Amino acid sequence: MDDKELVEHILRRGETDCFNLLMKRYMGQVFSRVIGIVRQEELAKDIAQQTFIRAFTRLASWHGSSFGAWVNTIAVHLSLNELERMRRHPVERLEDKCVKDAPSRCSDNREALLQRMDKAISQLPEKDQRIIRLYYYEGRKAGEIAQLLAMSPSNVLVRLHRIREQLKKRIESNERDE
Amino acid sequence: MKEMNDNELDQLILETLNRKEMLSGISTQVMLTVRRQHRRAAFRRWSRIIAFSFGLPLVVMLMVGAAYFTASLPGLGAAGTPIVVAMCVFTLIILIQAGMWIRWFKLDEY
Repeated sequence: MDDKELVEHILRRGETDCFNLLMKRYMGQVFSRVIGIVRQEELAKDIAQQTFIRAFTRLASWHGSSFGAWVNTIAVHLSLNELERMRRHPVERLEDKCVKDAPSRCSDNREALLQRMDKAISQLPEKDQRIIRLYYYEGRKAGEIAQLLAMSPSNVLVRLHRIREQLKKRIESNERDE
Repeated sequence: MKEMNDNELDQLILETLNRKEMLSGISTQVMLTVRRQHRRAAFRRWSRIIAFSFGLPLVVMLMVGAAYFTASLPGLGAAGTPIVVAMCVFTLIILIQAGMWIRWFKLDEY
């Protein structure tokens, strides 16, 4: 379903779960835009959340143009309002100080790279996505992964190696396509 | 883009998965709020319908009852006429407004 159909389903039939699909499409984009403006991860999370809540509240006012552009506009306004508020009432929060110590996490280049990697991972077959999630995110060893997925440990290691090579090639080709 | 070594690639994959999880967390929080707002809006709409369906006849009955009671008071005579007329005018206004609300009513919003 395209964006217009999803919005119709939400407004006419009250199917709020369709809003989840819209969020999945644009959350990454919105978050990247916001963190590029505010340069603080925790603040960017709050603003991204507020953006979509506001978008839902004002969904009836969306006139069928690009939904991504519309929601990004809301995000930019909220980000700039927050920056203005912080300029008037400067308060340095502890977590902001910690993030300032690692500026590369919030840089535009890093965000772009993370988006390319996200796209590359989502293009992998489901089993491969599961393997890297178990290995990297959950920190499991090859033996545990092999047991969970009914594979041999050596098979898991070979597959991991291939996945990593594939991801490396994909993010390089995604960069060339941009 | 400069050639990425294995450690950098591992770090990037981990960071991407963490970011994905974080965005998913934001989406979950938004959906909780959205569903709560949706439930409250539905409750308000149905409360309005019930208030309209029962409240309106009650108000009309009170008006008509007050007019009848006033008209039937012994010895009131012509002094009671303005009250009766006012009650009838209010009742008429309410009935006209109710007619307009019913005409504007959209079932697909419920």
